[in-house]
Order: sequence, then C-alpha cells, then structure tokens
Amino acid sequence: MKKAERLLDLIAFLLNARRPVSFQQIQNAFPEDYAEGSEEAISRKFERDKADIVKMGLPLKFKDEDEFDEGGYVIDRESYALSEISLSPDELAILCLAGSAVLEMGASPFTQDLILALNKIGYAAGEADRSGWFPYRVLPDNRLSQAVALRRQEYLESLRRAIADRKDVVLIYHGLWRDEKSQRTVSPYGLVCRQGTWILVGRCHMREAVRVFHVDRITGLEVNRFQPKTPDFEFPTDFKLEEVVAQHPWEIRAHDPVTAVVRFEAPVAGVLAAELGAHAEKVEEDGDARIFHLKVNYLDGLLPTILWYRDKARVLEPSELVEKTRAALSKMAGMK
Amino acid sequence: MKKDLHQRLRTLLFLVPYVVRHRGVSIGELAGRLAMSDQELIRELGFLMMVGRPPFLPNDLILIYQEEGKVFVDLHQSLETPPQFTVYEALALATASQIFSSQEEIGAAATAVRGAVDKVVKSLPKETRKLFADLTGRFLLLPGGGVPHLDMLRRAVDERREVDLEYFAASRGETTRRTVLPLGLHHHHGVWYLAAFCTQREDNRVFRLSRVLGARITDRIFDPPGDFDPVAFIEESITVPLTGEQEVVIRFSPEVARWVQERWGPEYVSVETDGSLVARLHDVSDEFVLSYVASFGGEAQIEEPGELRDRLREQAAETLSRYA
Repeated sequence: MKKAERLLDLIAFLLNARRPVSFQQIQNAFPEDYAEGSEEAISRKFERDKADIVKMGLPLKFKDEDEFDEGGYVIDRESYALSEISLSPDELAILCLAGSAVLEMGASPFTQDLILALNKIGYAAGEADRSGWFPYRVLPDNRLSQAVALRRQEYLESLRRAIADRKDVVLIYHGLWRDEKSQRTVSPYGLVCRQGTWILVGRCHMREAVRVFHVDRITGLEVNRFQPKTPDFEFPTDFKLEEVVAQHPWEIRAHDPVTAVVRFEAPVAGVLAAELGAHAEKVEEDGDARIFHLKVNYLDGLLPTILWYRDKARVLEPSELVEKTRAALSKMAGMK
Repeated sequence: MKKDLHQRLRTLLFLVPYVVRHRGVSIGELAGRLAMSDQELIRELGFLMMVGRPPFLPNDLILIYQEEGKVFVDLHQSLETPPQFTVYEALALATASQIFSSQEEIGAAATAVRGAVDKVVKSLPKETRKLFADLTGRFLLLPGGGVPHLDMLRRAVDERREVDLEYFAASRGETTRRTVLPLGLHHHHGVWYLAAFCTQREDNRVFRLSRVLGARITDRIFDPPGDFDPVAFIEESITVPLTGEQEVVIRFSPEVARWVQERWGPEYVSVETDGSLVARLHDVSDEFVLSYVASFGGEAQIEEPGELRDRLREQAAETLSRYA
C-alpha cells in the first residue's frame, strides 16, 4: 500500500476506534504494511508513519493502560475536530480579502496552509456560500521566470520550517551592494514581507551580527539536518523584526538619524499623505501642500523619492540633502 | 501548486467533510476553493475511493464520486469533520491579517480581521496555542502605504453600489472626479488596486487606492458584468507590455544596473559591454518615464524618444532654479 493511502487509512481507523488500539491490532488490521519484514524495519516504518500524522497536526497519542483499557494509540475525535467559531459576515469577508490578497501576491511561506485555513475558517463559521470566497488564486509573479518563482516558494517553505524548528541554514547569497556571492551560515530569526519582497532576518555567523537577506537573492539553501529535533539557537528577545527591516530605503541604518523636512505640492501631497503619513514624525499643512518631517537613517535613500516628484517636491532640511538634490538635478539638466 | 505529502493529505481531510456538508458541490467550485485544477481534483477523488478502514471490504471504503460535474459522498468512514487548525494555518491567517495597517481610516477593518484571528487562536488546543505564541512575530507582513478607502470600497464591491471617486491621475498629474462601478480589489507588491467601470470614460479602468483622494458610496445599485475577471484585468493593466507601438529606451549606469535588472527581469533589459543596462519599455505613460528616470538622479538617461529626454532636462533645470 502506498504511504499516502496508508496514512489516511490509519487516521480513519483510529478516529473510528472506540478504544485505544494496540500496535498488535494495527499490525493485524494492516497485514501488508506492518507484518512483513524484520521486526526492526516494521517498527521503524510505524514510527515514521506516526511522526507524519503528528506533523500533519493531528492529535495522535499513546494512551497508557488503565483500569478500563489496555494501552494503545488514539486519535481523540473531540480534539481532532475543527471547533465552531462564531464570526460576523463582515469579519469573514475582510479576513477573506486579507487572505486572497496574500495569495495573489504569489509565493509565501504558507501558501497551502493559507488556502486550507481560509477554507476551514469558512467551514468553522458555518458560512453560507458566497461567490466572493473563491477561487483562491495563487498568482505567478510575472516578473519572474517559472523556475525562479518555484525556487522562491521552495525556499520560503524551507525557511519557515527552519524558523519553526530553530535550525541553522547555509545560504549561497548574492549581495547586491558588493555584487558578490558568498556562502554563509545563518540562524534564521524570521521572515518579513515588504511590498511583495520576502526578506530573511537572521544572525550571520560570518559577520557575527543580525543581517537581512532578500530571499530572491538566495541561490542555494540547505537546512542543517543534524539532530533535527534539537534547536540550534534561541530567538533573541532584545529586538523586533520590524526594527531590522527598513520599510523605506531611507530607513536603512547607514548613519545616525537626522530629520529631513520636505515640502510636497498638491495633488502629490495628498497621495503621499496616504502613503507615508503614518511613517512621518510630523506632517504640516500649508494650503494644499504638505510639509513632511521624516526620520532618515540614509539620506541617499530618500533622494529617489524627492527626484521622482521633481518640481512638486522641495527639500527644506538638512542642507546636506539640499546639496545632494541640487547635484543630482544639475547632472540631469546637463550642467555637471 | 506543488504540495508535499502532508499538505496533500490535509487537503483531502478537509475535502471529504466539505462535500459531506455541501453535497453536490460542483467540481469547478471545489477545485477553485482548494486551488487545484479540475483534473487534479478528479484524480484525488479517484484516490479517495481506495481509502477506508480495515478490513477494507467495499463498505469500509470512502464512497465519493462525481456525477454530471457534481461531487457527492455516500460513505465518509469517520472523516466527516475537518481537522482542527494546525499551527501553520493559524500563523498563515495571523500573517495575512497584518496586510491592513492599523491606520485610523481602515482601523475598523484591521480590528475586525485581528479579532477574527484571535477567535481562531482561542479555538486551538493548548499545545498548538503555545507553539503559535512562540512563533507569532516571526513572520511579518509590513503593510504598504495607507489605504484610507479600502474597507468602504470592499463593501461597495460586495453590495454592488456605485461610488463617486476623487482620484489623482498620476499619468496626467491632475485630480479628477468621476462615478465608477466598483468590480473588484486586488493587492500587488504592497499596493491595492480597484478595478471599476468608469461611467465618464465608459470603459473599465484600474485605480490605485493610495491615489484615491476621496470616495463616497452611493445608494445606486448596479448589475455587474457576468464574465469580468477583475484580478486578471488589474494584472494585465499594471504589467508593462513587452511589445507595443511606443517604445521608450532608457540607459542605466553600471552603478545602478544590478538593481534595475532585479526590478525588471531579463525580458525588459539587456546588459551592454560597458556594464550599463538598456531597458526597452512599451506603452508606458510619459509621466511614469519622467518620474522613474528622474528618481535615478543622473544615473539613468532617456535615449528614446528624444522629445521626452529634452523634457526631463528642462524639468530638472526648472526644479533646480527653485533652489537658487
């Protein structure tokens, strides 16, 4: 019997049993699977199957002998079954919107889990069929070749498991700043998605410091396979992931923070107020214009945004950024 | 979608109870829900017919079948309820729920979605809940910019109500007012888009939510078009075509080439012998090209068309004069 079939049969068998089932009974019920071969091989096979069922998140347990029953395996129906969850139609709709949005982004560390979770939550809430609920589409990123998209999905899932099991990974990484490939061992602390780009945060053993790695710039990845049940590291408690990953290029930690003051004219001002408002230290209104006060850790990272808007943006402070803007504009105007 | 063994089996353990509850669900709907192709689903139904309980006599096997494109279960062999959420499923929901920023305007949506996730977490068995607590915070989705009108537009799409929109049309650099029939929302690379029929243009259009400066939901109900796919429409509209009537050629200096290459992918760009990069874009708006090239501050040049190159030069000189 093939493994997929055997595991489902075993689950159905245990769910249906009214009493704990001994290994002997399982052997008798599955003669082809657990009766042939050496005792050691049979026992190893059964151990692997048990581990698979537990990894699927099912409550398979061994119940010790008591006054009523002999010892044996059980899957308790009550802890197996999805509980009812009461959700308003609005809660359900908005959760579905969030879930679909993530699926439509393409690869994620939990694509298949998310599809099942959305289905289960609909089921648990006893939803009436809504056309907005499906299909759940996982869209390929049209900027990527299929091979790259598959690799991204595979790496994200491997990293997710490595994070959950706290196992080190060995990466081949193409760093764009230095434009070089290097091999590094990393303790993976977490994954962050910024505007569709997945970023690994971890401790780089080579640099002995916390570093960020774009998942798409990883060209090789291997999870430490030794002692899979023993974690290789502990999660640090002295920082949060969002503090390490810059949401905007000017938040990359290149120098001590300075406050940049930039005036944007309407109608750009209104759009930026929506896009950046929450990240600004302060936004002043001056008619239709908006004056943004931004905390900047990397002045060169703010420059592209200022230049993008050309005559609709004007740097007021600091003078260093005014100079950088003028230099870039001079170059563009052909007056080097 | 490539699935590993556990994912496949968990999907099947959901599929059987789902059909028990929704007897006669169509192949297409069920496949769509589980993100499978119809053929894959039909193969899995065939597989499930071989699954059951010892001693595996005919009545011990799952009896699941399709008839005229509809799926039925007659014998479920104790698989009549879906299994509890796994820790990864709960984490997936919790991560997805971070897509809404907690900004005031959509605070209600953000609160609703987080409340829903909390209910899921509370329903988990104790050990799973502990694992969830250890791992939550390890997976983050940074919300993009604020999307003040997201929740309202979602309701308008659901309830099929016309919306009066005040919109910043970036390609023309001006604010416009129009009435639209909202057809669907889509999220792409951190940005939310609305597909809607614009009554002024009498055509379908894509609106970027961060550029919606004002929106008012009306009481006017509309009939949505039957075969319109908003997600596909948005994806097509925001993808720069590989060929087209108007070609723009941009050259990037070697210093910025690798980032540009990563942004556009090999179909759009070619590397020159001196290490510079040439991108060929088609049917993109002048405003986009001017802004995009400007953002490189001299590390990028418009090569074609010459008229656009001159315009950027003039704009740069004009902006510079304001700093004098």
